[in-house]
Amino acid sequence: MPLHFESAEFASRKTRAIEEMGHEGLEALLMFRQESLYYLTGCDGSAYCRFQVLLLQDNGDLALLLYEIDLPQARLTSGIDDIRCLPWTATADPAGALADVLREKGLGGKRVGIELDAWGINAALWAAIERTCGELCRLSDASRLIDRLRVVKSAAEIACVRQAAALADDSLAAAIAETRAGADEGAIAAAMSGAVLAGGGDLANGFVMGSGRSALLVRGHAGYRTLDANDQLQLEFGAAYRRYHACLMRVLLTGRAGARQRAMFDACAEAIAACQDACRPGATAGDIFDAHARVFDAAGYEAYRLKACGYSLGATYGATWMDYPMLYSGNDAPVLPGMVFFMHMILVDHDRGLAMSLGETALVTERGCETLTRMPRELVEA
Amino acid sequence: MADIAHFPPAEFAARQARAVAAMAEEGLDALVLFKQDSRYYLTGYDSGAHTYFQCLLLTGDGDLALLSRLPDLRQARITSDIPDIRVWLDGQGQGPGEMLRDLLAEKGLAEKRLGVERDCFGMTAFVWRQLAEACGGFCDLVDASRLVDGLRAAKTPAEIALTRAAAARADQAIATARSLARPDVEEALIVGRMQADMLRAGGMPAAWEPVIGSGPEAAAPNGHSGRRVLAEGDPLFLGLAGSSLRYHAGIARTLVLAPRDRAGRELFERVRAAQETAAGLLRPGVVAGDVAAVDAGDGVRVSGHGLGAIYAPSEADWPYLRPGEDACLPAGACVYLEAAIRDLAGNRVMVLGDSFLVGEAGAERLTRASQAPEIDG
Repeated sequence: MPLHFESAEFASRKTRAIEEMGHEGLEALLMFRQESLYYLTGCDGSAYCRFQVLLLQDNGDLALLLYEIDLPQARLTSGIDDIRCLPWTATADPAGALADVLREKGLGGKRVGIELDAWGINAALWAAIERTCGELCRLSDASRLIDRLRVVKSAAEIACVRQAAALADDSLAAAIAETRAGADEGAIAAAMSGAVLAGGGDLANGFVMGSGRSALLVRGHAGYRTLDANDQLQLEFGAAYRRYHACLMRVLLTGRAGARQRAMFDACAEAIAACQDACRPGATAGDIFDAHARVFDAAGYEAYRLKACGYSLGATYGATWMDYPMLYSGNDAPVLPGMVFFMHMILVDHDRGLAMSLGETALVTERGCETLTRMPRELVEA
Repeated sequence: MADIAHFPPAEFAARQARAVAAMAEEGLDALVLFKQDSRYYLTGYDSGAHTYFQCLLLTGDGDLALLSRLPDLRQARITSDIPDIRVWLDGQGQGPGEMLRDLLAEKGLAEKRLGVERDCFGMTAFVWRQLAEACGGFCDLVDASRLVDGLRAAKTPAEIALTRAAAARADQAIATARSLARPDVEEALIVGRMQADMLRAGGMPAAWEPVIGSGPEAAAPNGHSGRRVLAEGDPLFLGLAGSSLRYHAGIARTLVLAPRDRAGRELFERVRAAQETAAGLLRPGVVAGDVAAVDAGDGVRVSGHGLGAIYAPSEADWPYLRPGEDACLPAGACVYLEAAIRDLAGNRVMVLGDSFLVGEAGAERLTRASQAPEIDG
């Protein structure tokens, strides 16, 4: 299986990871995030759902420890040479095997960073690892070390995000084509997912679809509804390409917009323009949120907006496409060229039962930002 | 009753009563539930927000309280009857650990024995540290990761009906793939049609992505990005789940894109025999590990896992079917059972997986799509 990036790119990512480890005084790093494995080695899949850890030492050596059932996946998707396997049995001892690897690599007594904010290391596994490795090494949390590198995209990564954005656009176009009074939400979801997969992309986890009163929710739920006349369909969705995500958000109407809906849409359009204006090198994540809040509050929508208006996107796994940092008040994370943000303007008016939204994916450039998704900022009246 | 409810209030009440009884048996004063699967089962609360610190408290009196983020407040009100919902804000005010401690104090649970779901997604080591720091000296926190899993394992007739509906979706996807698979067709087209056909028929996206791999990539079991064009002679691996209201049914097929491929047929007969042997053991009370420990023949691995209403990212509900797993499968359990040859060195792949219901009289295969490796099979 061909890797999706040149070997020089993987080498440079590893070099920067080792530099970061040096800054933190770490001699090795234990990675449990599939995101980190994919970034450093191309290793793709879901082995993190069982057990999988990648060790990077400051001399550049990599070693992967996982269950033997996941070995074919690791061999086929990464170039890692040193792969150790645990038997796929209930009596296997992942934490003990990890301690053996650390001892063998001469890491006893050394400072070792570990990703604790990772779905691959739950509280039960962490308790076992503290028992076997806590005395052996000086473990410290390094959950954000690789994230800090991942957040700024290379040219090759940006090309993937652009592909993802085109697939997200296709997905929205498919949704608009299906949306009308009497349409089934399942048929709309089918058209949207089909467009992403048939276009060579990967599904993005975290899809939100809701109509009628459920359009006011900003979470997905089980079950499909049939759209009414004068209905509102909330869609927050994404597409991935080589695991890199791009997202969009819209409310589609099956009838004519009322004056209130039109005003809400206009406020969303003004807010996203303000956010994208604020999204430039030198700003912070909090500044982008503040631009969103300023527009909505001035238009009298303070009670209807959310407390966050987006987040970074990248090559992520699991139940959500959300990546760090998030856009909320006071977040001082810097905005840097090469970052990708999904900015979503959302208004939820429970008193009138109305929802409105507008979300786009944008790339931070040297001077400002570029919208990667191309679907027009229009209120769709299907 | 909640606006969106997939089961009647009496069923949720019965589930909660069983959980309270199981708590008492374990000597627990309350449960702190971090699994979204447990929350959906006990209350219907349906949200993908287990990516954050989020927990449901169930006390020995049967009181329920949810601690979540602001965007989930309405979601919880619309999909459940949880009366007490508290939210924490990103970067402002009290953190979730402190809010949980205050909630526990208010419910009179100081110094009490609390069961916590620790072995689950969402309960990362990072979340555990926040929890232990805020509540560790305040209550006695013990592991209760399998308590609700144990209740969920035996499905009710309504849940079995949903699993059957999920199996029908999975069968549909395989039929779609079989109708499209031939040399020069793109994997992307096949997987796109499979997913679209499942959703259009009322299925929902499964907790994990559909896996497609062909040629040298057919042995990758877990899903990878990047699609290939099929070629003459390829093995084509398809592994996915149908889902109905979050209940799952898994299926795996390996098609061989060659007419009258005797080597492929021979591999298939071996995995089919292994799956049949293992399925023969599926009776109420069977030990999960014993099912996977059957003599499957050289190079054939039998494995699997429970099936149920679970959330992303994993395909595997409790328990795993793997050697040494000591959980017993009750009547009404649904499992995914796979027999596989994944021989990278010998370039041989054949995987056969199906969903089964553990009935009083033995196993019933719920997924019924043709198992044959021949594309016209």
